[in-house]
Amino acid sequence: MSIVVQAQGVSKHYGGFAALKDINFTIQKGSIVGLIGPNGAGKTTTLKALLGLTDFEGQLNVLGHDPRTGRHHVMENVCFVADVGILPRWLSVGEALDYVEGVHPRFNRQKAEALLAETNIRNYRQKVKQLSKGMVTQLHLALVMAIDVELLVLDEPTLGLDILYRKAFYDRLLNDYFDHETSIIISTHQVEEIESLLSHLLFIDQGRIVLDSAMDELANVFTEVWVEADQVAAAEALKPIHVRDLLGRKSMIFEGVNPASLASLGELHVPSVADLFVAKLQRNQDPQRGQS
Amino acid sequence: MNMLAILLKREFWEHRKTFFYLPLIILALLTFFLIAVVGSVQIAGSDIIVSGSVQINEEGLHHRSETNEYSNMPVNALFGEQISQFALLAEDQRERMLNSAYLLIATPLVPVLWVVVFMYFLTCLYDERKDRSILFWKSMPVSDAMTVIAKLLTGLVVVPAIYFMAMMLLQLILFLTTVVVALGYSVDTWQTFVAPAHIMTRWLQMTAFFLFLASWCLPFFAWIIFVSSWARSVPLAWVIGIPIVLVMLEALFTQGEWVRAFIKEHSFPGGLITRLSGGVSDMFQQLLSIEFLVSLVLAALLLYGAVYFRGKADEL
Repeated sequence: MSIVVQAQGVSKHYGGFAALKDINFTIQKGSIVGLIGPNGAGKTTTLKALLGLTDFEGQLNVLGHDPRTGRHHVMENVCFVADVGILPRWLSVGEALDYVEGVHPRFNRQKAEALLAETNIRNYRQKVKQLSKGMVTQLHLALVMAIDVELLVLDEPTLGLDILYRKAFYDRLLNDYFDHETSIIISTHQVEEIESLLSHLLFIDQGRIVLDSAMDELANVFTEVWVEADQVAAAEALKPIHVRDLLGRKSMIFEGVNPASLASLGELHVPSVADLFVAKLQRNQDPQRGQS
Repeated sequence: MNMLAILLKREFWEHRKTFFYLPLIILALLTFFLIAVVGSVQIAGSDIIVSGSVQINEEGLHHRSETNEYSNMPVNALFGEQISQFALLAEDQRERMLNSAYLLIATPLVPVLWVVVFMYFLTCLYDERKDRSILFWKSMPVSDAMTVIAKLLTGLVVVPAIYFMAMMLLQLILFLTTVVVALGYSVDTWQTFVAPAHIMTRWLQMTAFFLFLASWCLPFFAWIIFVSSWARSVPLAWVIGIPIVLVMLEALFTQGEWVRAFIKEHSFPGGLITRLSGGVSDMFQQLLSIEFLVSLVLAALLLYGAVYFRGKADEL
């Protein structure tokens, strides 16, 4: 598989504050990557850096270009939807269509109009400032999903949308848009919503990548055990990275421990991404905790 | 080139009010004013005297020379009873009076155009950072250089062209009014109003003059775009503040006045305009000067700077 994005030692400082600390990762063609972290972890900064929307230190290669110098080349093959509305308030729906059609060689207007027809946006003369927050997002998504690109970058794309639309959006993303030629990066702090979609996970916390794993490798590395009460001491000896109470039993997540040696402790499960997220982040914030 | 066209359109969409509706409203008001004057002369027989102090803008182009009694213009001579006396005046006197009238009707649009272009350049790379829409614009495959070029062309070509059309339309309305009114009097309409109006020459001169001003003031406009590309707040303060500091430094540490003179000449070239009495050939002469070359290099550097900062720019 070919590499779409390669980041090596990417750092970003805002004044004295380090938003990204020496980040490394690669994104393979055809993958759907979840960039997951709490608010302020550096998700948006990471995405903006790889889009050439902000300056940074280190090496980044996006589809063969350095986004700092070749932003407009990168953007021919990359699309971006931000967490909050970034469409200018004075732009009308029709103008937005005209503009993207005029500047983007890979934009398919019919497709955009078909996507818009499924939203509440009817009047193309309406301006962005007259649309609700959800409608602005729908407009932006319709524009972007009508562009045939190699990499789609979504920064908290469904923030502020209601649950029905969020479900529909992710269904469409997977069924209509994603074709294994495209790669998608989605940042979010709501893990459950996109868990089933992802092929690769990147956890980010306090400007560092704390987990970088393909989804189908998670089961090989992480095991969740529902430990019976009488086995707790034995289980804790194996140093779970996360422990929580579970109706008289304890749920423990182990990293890199052979499942065979865990089977005697209780029921084995593949941990959910949300639990894994909590486990990895707590560890990152308090390295002693996982070992105790 | 399609790309450039859509980028220019986008600027127009954003500023439809000041680029289109504002000149349209002024055009309507001035037309109404003209009709009111003609009506008052025709119906009430009043004789308003319009003062001749109209030559603020293009005075250099039209022989300012001998202060003439006819620059004070009784409108009755153009639209009323006195047309027959007007027809008897020497041709150069009629030319002068008509010239005043044609300038008077179009001149109100000039300061408006200046303010509109100034405000446009001041906000053109600043507002997009303030309202975060820069993230949308920069997520499209449009280079920063192309963006800055489109904005420069908008302020220096598109907007003046629109205001120009409004000015020409106003002069055309005045022209037709004089002709139609004159038909009611027994004067030679062609000799009295059509020929001395020099309407085509006037428009060509006006166009040449504005093209000249646009290139002559290029460093001034490039400076505003440059500030707009990096100022984190109140770009106007930087636009005005930095030149003031430069002039003060020059006054403090050198005997010269070069910086002061350069800034003045290329932002409000009043002195230059009076020197341009010879019209187009004088303008050509100015464009061949070393000073103009220096100003072009400066403008290019400032625009390059604007492109550089647009590349680095993030939301504010």
